[in-house]
Amino acid sequence: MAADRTLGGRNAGDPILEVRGLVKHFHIGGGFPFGRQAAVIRAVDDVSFDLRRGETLGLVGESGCGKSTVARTLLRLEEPTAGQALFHGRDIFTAGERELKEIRRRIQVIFQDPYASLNPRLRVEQIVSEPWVIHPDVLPRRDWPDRVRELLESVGLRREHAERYPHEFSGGQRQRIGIARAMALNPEILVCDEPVSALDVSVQAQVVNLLEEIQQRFGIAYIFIAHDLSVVRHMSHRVAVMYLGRIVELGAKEQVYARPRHPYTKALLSAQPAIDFSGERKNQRIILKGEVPSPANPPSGCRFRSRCWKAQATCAGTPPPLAEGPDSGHRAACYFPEGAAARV
Amino acid sequence: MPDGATPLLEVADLRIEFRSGRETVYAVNGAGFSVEPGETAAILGESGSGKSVTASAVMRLLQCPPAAITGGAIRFKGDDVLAMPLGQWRRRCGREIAMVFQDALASLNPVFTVGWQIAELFRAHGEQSGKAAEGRAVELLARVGIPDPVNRARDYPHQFSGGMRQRVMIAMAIALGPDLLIADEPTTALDVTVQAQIMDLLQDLQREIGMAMVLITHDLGVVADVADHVAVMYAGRVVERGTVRDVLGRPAHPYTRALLDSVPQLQGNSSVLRPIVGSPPDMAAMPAGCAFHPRCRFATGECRSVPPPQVAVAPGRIAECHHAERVFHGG
Amino acid sequence: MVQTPQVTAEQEAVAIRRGLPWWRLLLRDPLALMAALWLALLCVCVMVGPELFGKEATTLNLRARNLPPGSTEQGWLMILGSDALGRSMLARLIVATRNTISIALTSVLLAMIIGGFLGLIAGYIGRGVGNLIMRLSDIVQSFPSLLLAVVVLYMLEPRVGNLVIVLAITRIPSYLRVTRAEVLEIRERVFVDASRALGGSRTHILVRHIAPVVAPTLLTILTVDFAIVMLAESGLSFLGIGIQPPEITWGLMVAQGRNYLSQAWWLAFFPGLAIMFATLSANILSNWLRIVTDPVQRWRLEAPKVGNA
Repeated sequence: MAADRTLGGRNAGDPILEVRGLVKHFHIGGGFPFGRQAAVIRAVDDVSFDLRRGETLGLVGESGCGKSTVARTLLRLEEPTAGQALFHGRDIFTAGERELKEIRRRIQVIFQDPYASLNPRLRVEQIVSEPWVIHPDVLPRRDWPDRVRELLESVGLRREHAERYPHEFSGGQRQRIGIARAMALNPEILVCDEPVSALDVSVQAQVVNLLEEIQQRFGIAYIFIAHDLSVVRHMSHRVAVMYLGRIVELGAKEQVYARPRHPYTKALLSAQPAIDFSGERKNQRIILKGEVPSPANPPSGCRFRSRCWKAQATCAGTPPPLAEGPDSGHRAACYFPEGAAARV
Repeated sequence: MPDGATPLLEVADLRIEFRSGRETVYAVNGAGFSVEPGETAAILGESGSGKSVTASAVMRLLQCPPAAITGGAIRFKGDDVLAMPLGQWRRRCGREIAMVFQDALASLNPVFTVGWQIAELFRAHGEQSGKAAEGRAVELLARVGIPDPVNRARDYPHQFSGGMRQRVMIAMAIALGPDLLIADEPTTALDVTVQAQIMDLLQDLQREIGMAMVLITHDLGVVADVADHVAVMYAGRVVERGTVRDVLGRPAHPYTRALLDSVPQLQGNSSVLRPIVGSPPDMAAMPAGCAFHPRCRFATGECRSVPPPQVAVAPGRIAECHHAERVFHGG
Repeated sequence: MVQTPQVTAEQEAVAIRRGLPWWRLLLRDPLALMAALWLALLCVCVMVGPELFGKEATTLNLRARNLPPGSTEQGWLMILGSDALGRSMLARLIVATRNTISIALTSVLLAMIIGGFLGLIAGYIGRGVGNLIMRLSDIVQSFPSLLLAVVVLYMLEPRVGNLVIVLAITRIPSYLRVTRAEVLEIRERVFVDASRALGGSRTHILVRHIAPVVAPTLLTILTVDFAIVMLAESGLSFLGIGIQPPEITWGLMVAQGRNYLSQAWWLAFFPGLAIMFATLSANILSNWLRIVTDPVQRWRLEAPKVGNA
C-alpha cells in the first residue's frame, strides 16, 4: 500500500534525532613537523536538522556535498570535529563506549554497495545474525536460526537462502540481505546511504517498495541519502538539499520540489533528466557554469556564489543563514531566494 | 524507423556470443536498429541487455575470442563493417565514426598529457603534425568548454575532474568531425548538474558538426530529454523501437511499460511504484520463447514456448511481443 | 505482506546448487590428492617412524657400507643405498622425518601465530603501537638471518628448543608485514564499517572479519617458509650449531652428504629430494585449501569439467 506522505499526517512525530551544528573537517598532509601546510577538507560545515519519528528525511546533493560524511559521523564511523547529535536527549558524539553500543542498537545503516557490504566468506545466516552476536541480550541463541529465516522472508527472500553465500545472489537480493541484517535489532532510525544507486533500474523499485513497507509496519525513521532526485521525491516526507558541506534548503517534499527557493535547488531540479513531453522543462533548463569548487578551498560566504546567476557582493560576506520564508517549515540559505523580495 | 535514403548505420539481426571453457553466454540475440544522419538514437537497456556489447561490436572493439559474432550484419554508410578488412575499418574510425565511454579515466592514457593525446589523433590520421596539431588540440579543448585550455593541455588525465575528463574524451572523439558518435553511458558516473552540461555540449556539437549520435543508457529521463528515436533492449534483443515520444508515451511492449511504471518520476503522481518482479535472465541459459515472460504480467502459454514476432503496431513502431497490440492499446 | 509474485519469482533466482563435501573435491583433483597422500605418509612416518625403523637407522653394518641405490642383496631396506657406516638410507630418512617436520612445522607455526597476531595489531590499531611493532620487525629483518641464528645459538646451547625459537624469530617479519598490509586494506572495506555500525568491538571485527580473510595468505606463506626453514636448519646443522648427532634431520643428512657428492651422491640426493617433495606437497595442498575455503572461488573446483564448446 502506498504510504500517505503528507506532512502532519499520522507519520509525523516528535523529533527523535536533533543534529546541531555538525562540523567535520578532514586534515590531510602536514605530517612532517617542518611546516608543510596541511590541507583542510571542510566536508561538513555547520549542519543542523531534526529527524522525526517515523518520517523519511531525504538528503540530496551531488558528490562532495558531504551527505555521506553526515551519515558516517552520525553513525560515529567518523569522529565529528564539532557539533551535537541528540538522540532521545543523549548526545551521540560524546557517548562513551558502552553508551555508544546501546545507541548503535537503535540506529542502523544500509550501504550503497551491495557487493561490498556483506562479508563474502560468511553465509547469509551468519551475516544476518551478527547483530545478535554483538548484542547477546537481544535474542537468546536458540532463537537465532528461526528469526534469521523470518527476517529473510520478510524482505522477500526464501528461508533456504540462509545457507547461501553472498556471491550467489544478485545486487538487489544482497541489498535485501543488508536490510534484513539492519532490521535484526529493530532499530528506530535507519540511515540509508544511497541504497539503490548501485542497482539496476528495474530492481530499484523492489528495494524502494520494501523500505516503504518496512517503514509502514515498524514506524522506523529514515535518513535517505541519494543523488537521484526522483527517488528521494518518492521516498521522503521532508527533504534537505546540501551543497559543499552545508544545507542550502530544507522543507517538506512538496515545498522543496514544487517551489524551490534556493537557486541551487532550482538548478538541480532543472538539470535532472525527466520524462516530460510538454517541452516546459527544456525551456526552463538551467545549466550551471563551472564545476563544484574543491571542499578544501570553498568560496567565502555563500558557497554557491561562484556558480550562482544571482550572486552579489553580499553573498561573499557572512554566509546566509537557513531562514524561513512564507511557507512554514520551508527554509533556504540564500539572501535572494526565489520567489521572494530580496532580504538584506 | 524513417524510410528513404540509406541509413547512416544499420544493424540487422546481430548475434554475439562469449565463449569460455565452461559455458557460452549469448550476449546479443538478434538485435536490429538503424540511425539516420544527424539524428540522435538511444539504445535503452539495463545491465546485461547487450547494449554495450552491440556498440563495441559496431566499432569492432570486441576481443574475438572470447567474443564471437555469430550472425547478422552491420552496415555503415552502406558498407559491410564486419566484412571489411580491419585495417580499412580502423582508418575510418575516428574520422567517420567515434566512440565515447563511461569511464574516462580508464580510457585515457595516464602517462601522456591530454594535449599530446588529442594531437596524437591528428598525427595518427596524417592530418597535421607538430605545432599545428597541438594548436588544434588546444582549440578543441576550448570548444568543449575547458577553461584555460592552453595550460590545461599540458595536464595529465588524473588532474582533471570527472566532468572535465569526459569533455576531454568528447574532444578526442569529435576531433576529426565524425558523422556518427557512439556514446556508451557517457554521463552515468557524473553528477546531475555536470551531466546536464555534458549532454548540452553533445547536442551543441551535434548541431554544429551535423553529427548523428547513438546514446547508450539505462536512464529513461536522459532518453526522453535528448533522443529522437529509441530502441529498447532486453536480454540481447531489441524489443521495441520507435520515436521517443511514442515509445515512452505509449509503450507497446510489456518491458517498456513495466519499466515506466517502476521508475520514480520527478513530476506527477509520486505515490505508487510498480516494481518488475524477478531479475534479468541468465544469459547462458535463456528461457525458451520470450525472454521476458517470467516477469511479464501479460504472459500466456504461448509466450513460454514460441519466440514472439515483430509486430508493427503503428507506422515506424515495432514491438516484439505476442500481445503488442494489447499493450499498445493500454490493456 | 510482500506481494506474492515477487516471492515466486525469487524462487528461480538463486540456483539450487548443492555444494560438494571437501573430500569429494579432493578426489577430483589428482595433484592435490597426491600431495595430500604424500603428506599423510609423512605424518605416519613422524608418528611411528623411529619406533619401527630406529634400529635399522642406527645399527652399524660394515658389510653394507656405501651401497649404491638399487642394491638389494643386503635386504630391501638398502633400496636407496647406505652410508659409510652401513646404515640404510631409507630407514634414516624415515626416522629423520620426525625431527625435520616437527622442527620446521613448529618454527613456522610459531612465526605465523606471533607474526600474524602482531600484524593484526599493527594494522588495525596502528599509530604508536603499530609503529613500534614495525620498527622492531625492521630491526629483526635487517640482520642476516643466518648470522642472527649463529650468534644466538652460539651464546645459548644448540638445543632443539632454542633452534626452533631462533628459526621462528627470523621468519616473523615476513608474516608481520604481509598481515599488516592486508589488514590495512581490509579494514577499509564496507562490511567492516557495517560491523562497526552494528556496535562491533575491535576484537570482534578482528576475529570475525579480518583474521579469516588474512589466514589463507598466511597459510600460503607458511608452506613456502617450510622449505626455507628446513634449509636454514640444514645450514645450521652443517655449521655444527643446529641439530647434534645422533639426532638426525634431512637437513643434517644433506649437510653430511655434501662432501661425498662425487663418490656417494645418494647421501645428499635423497634427503634433498625428501625436502623438495615435502614442500611441494605442502604448497600444492595449501593452494587447493585456499580455493576450497573461499566460498567465492570454490565453484572452480565444483563445476563439472567441460570441453571447449
